[in-house]
Amino acid sequence: MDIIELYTAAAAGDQTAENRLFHYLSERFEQFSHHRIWDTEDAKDVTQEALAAIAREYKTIGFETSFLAWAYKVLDNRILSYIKRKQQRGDRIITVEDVGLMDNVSSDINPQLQTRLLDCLKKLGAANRRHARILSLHYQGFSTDEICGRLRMTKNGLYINLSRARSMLEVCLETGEVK
Amino acid sequence: MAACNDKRFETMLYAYELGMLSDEDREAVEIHQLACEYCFERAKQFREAARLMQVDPAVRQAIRQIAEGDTAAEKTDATDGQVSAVKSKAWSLGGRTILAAAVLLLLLLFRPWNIEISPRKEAVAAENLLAIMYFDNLSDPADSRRIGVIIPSLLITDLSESPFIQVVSSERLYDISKLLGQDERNLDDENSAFKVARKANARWMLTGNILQTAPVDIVTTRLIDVASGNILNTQKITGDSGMTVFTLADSLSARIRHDLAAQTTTATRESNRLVADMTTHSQKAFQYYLEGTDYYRRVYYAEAIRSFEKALEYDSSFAMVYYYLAVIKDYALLAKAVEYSEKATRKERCYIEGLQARRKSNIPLAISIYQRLIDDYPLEKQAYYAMAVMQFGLEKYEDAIGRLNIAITLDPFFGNAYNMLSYSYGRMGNLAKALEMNDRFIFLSPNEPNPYDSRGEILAESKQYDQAIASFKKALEKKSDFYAAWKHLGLVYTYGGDFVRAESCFQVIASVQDIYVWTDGKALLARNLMYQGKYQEALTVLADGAREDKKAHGEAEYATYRQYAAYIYAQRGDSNLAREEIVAAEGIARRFHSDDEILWRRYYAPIMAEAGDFASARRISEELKIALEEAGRQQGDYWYCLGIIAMGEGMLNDAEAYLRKATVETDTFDYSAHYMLGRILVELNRPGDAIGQFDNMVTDQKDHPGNWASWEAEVYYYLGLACQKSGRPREALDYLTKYLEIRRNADSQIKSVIDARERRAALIAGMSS
Repeated sequence: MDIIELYTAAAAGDQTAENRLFHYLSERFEQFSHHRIWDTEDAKDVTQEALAAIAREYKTIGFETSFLAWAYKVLDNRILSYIKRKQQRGDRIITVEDVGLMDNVSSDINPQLQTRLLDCLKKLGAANRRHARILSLHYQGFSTDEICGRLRMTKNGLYINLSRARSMLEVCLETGEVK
Repeated sequence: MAACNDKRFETMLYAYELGMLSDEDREAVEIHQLACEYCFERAKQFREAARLMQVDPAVRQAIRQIAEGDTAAEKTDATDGQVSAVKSKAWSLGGRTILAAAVLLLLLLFRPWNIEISPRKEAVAAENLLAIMYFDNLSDPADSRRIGVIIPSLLITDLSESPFIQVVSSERLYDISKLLGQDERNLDDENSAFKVARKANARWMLTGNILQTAPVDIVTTRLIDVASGNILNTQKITGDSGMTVFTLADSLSARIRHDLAAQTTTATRESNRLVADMTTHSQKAFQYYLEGTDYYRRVYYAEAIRSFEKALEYDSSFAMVYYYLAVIKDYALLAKAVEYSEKATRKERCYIEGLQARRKSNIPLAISIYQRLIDDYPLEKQAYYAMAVMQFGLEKYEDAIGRLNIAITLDPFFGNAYNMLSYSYGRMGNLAKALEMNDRFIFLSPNEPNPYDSRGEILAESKQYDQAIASFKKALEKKSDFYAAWKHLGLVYTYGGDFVRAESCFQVIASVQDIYVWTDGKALLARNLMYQGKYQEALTVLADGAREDKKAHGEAEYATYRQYAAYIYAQRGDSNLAREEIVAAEGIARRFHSDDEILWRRYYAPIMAEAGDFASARRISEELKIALEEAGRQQGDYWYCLGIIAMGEGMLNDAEAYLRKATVETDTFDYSAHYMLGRILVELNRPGDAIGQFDNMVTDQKDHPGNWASWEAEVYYYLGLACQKSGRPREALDYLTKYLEIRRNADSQIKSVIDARERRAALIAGMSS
C-alpha cells in the first residue's frame, strides 16, 4: 500500500493501517526535525508532539490539500514554535557551529565511518574539484547565491555538481573507490 | 523500489542535507520525501555521513584543506579562438574624430530614419544620477599631464561603486558630447556642461578646477543641482608632498559621498575601497589606460593596443587593460584579467566575467551577468550590445533587436550596433531592413571595409551571390588585407562551384605572415578540398599546416588540422589513422582549449565513434554531458554524440531516437543533428522523412565548421537517394547531378561518388525507356 492508501484505510478505521501510517510518518518526521533541531531529545519531543496532533485531528478534518502537505505543516509549525520559544527565553538555539563543540554529539560519531569519509573526501577532491570549494565557502557562512557568484555557477549547476559528488561519495563509502 | 519520478528533488538532495537550501526549497524537498520512498531511503542511508559533513570538525578541516590546495593550484587557461560567430570590430584604423559640423550634418541626415536622440525612459537611470565633468587645469591649460582627465576618471571609478548613486560613465559623457557637437574635454563654459548633464538626465553635476599641481596639488570642486543650477557644496583639497592623484581622488570621493548623502535619504554605509585598489597605483599606467580606452572608443585598435601595452609596462596587474587587450588582440589575455579582477570595479568585473562565460560557451551565465549589468547600470550601451550578441548566438533575433535598439538610442552613432541589427534582420529574412541598417553602418564608416563585408554576408545568406561578390570586392578595395572578406568571398565561390577562384581567395589568407591568420587560411584550403571530395590533397594541406604550426609554436597548438584529418580518415575507413589523429587532436585541445569544455568534445566524440573507438567516444560524451549540465545548457550535443555512437554500432533505431532528441534539446538549429538524422532515415528506408530533414540543409549555407564541408556536398547525394526511393526520379536526378558536379574531381574511391554515378546512369536509362 502506498502512503495515500494507508491514510485512506486508517481514516476508515483500519487499525493496522493506522499503525503503519504513523510508523511511516514517524521515521520521516524524525529525520526532518533532526535536520533543524540538533538537540536529539528536543527533536524527538517535537516529532512526538506533531504526531500526537495529527493522530487527534486527521480523521476529522476534510482536506482541501493533501494529507501529506497538511501533516508536514503540522510538524513545521511545531518546529517553528520550538525555535520561537527558545528565542523568547533567550536560550541559544543550538546551531551547527555549536554542535561541533558539544561532547554528546562528538560521542555519537562513528569513528570507522569518519575514517572512511575522510579518505573518500580526499579521493573525491581529485575528481571533483569544485565540491570542496563549495563546501568550504558554505562552512564560512556564504549563502548559496554568494557561492554561485564566487564560483561563477548557476544554482542548478551547483546542485548538479553536489549531486554528482554525493553519488561518488556514496559509492566510495561502500567500495572504497571513487568512480 | 521505483526510482524518483522528479529528478529535481534528487538533484537537490545533497544541498538539502548540507543545509544549503532556502526555506521554500527545503520544504519542497521534505514534502517530496514524504511521498518518495526512493529519496527518503537515499537520505536515510546517507544520514550519518551527511551529519558528519555538517558537524565533524575533522571533516570540515579536511574539506578546507582540499579547497585551499585546489585554489592555489587552479589556473585558468585561455586560448585564442572565436567567441562570436559575427565579427564585431572594425579592421581599418583610418577613422577620424567626428567634427562638430559633421555631427550636425549627420543629425540632419539621420532624421529621415527617425533616429531618437534622447534616451528612452526605460533606459534612464535612477534618480540619484551624478555627472562628473572633466576638470579645468588652470595651472596648465594644455593639461599636459592629463590631470584634468585623470582625477574625474578616478572619481567616476570610485563613486560608481556606490549602491546609492549612479554615476554617468565616461563613455556616456563622450557620446552625449559628440551628439551635441562638443568635445567633452573642452566644454567652453558651464552652460555647455549643463547641457551635457541635462541630456544625461543627471540630478547633480560635479565640476572642478585644478589650481596648482606643484609643489602640491590644489583641487576645488563644486557640486551643482542640475535642475535649479544651485551650488550645493564646494570642496577644496590641498595635497601634501606624499599625496598621489589616487589618494587625492580618494579624499575627494569621500567628501563628495558625504555631500551627496546630505542630499538623499539613503544611508551612507558604503565600501571603503581605495580607488587605486580598483584600478592601478601607477599614474602613468592610468594615463596610458585612459588613452587606450579613448582609442578603443574610436575604433583605432592598433593605437589602443600600443597604449594598453604601455600601461602594462607600468603596472602588469591592471585587470581592465588585460580585458581590453583580450577583446582586441588576444583572448589568451583574458586569464590575466580574471586573475587580477579583484583590482576592478563591480561593473568592470561583470564585463570580465561575462567575457569569460562566453569563452566557456556558458551562454545562460553570460546572459545573466549582462542582465545584472543592465539592471545596475541602465545606461551602459556596451552591456546591451553584449547581451544582443548572446541572443543573436541563440538565434533569438527579435530579442537581440530589442537590445540593440536601446543601444542606438543611447548612442545613435554606435556603428557596431547597426552592424548587428543588419545581421539580425537578415537572419529573420527581412532583407530590406537588413540592408537599411547596413546603409547606416556604411554611412557612419564609409571608408571601412567591415560594413561592405557585412553587406556581402547578408546578401550571400539571401542567395544574392553576384551582389554579395560585388560587396566583398568593395570591402577589399577599402582594405586589401581585410581577410574576413577574402574568406567570405572564397566561400561564395565554393558554393557557386568556382573552386579555382575559391582556392585563390584562401591562398591569400594562407600566405600571410601572421600565424593566426595563415592558420585559418590553411584550414579553409583544406575545407575547400574536402567539399570537393579531394581528400588526399586535403591531407597534404593539413599535414603541411600541422608542420608549420609545430615549427611556429614549438609544439602543436592548432587542433583543427588533426581533427579534419581524423574526419577524412574515418570517411575512408582508415580507423587506425583516424584514431591516431583524433587522439592527437584531443591532446592539443585538453592542453590549449580547456577553457571551452564543450566545443571540442562535441566534435571529437563523433569522430572517435566513426573511427570505431566507441569507448573513447562514450568517455568524451559523458564529459560533455557534465560540461553541458554545469553550463546550464541543453543536452542536444550529448544526444548527438550518443546518436553517432549508436549509428556506428549498427543500432539505427536507437540512433534515430538520440538524434531526434538532439534536434529538439538545443537552443539553435543543429545542422549536424539534422544531417545525421536524415542519413539514418534513409537507412531505415523512410525516404520521405529523410527529405524533410535534408531540405533544411541545402537552404542553410552559413559558415559551417570545416568537418561539415563534406556534408554540405553529400546532402545532395542523400537527397538524390531519398528521392529515388520515394519514387521521385526527376528530383533524384537533379540532386545526384548537382552532387556529381561538386565532386567531379573527387578522389576515385569515394563510395558515394561511385554509387551516385551508377544511380544517375540508371535513372537516365529509366527515363529514356
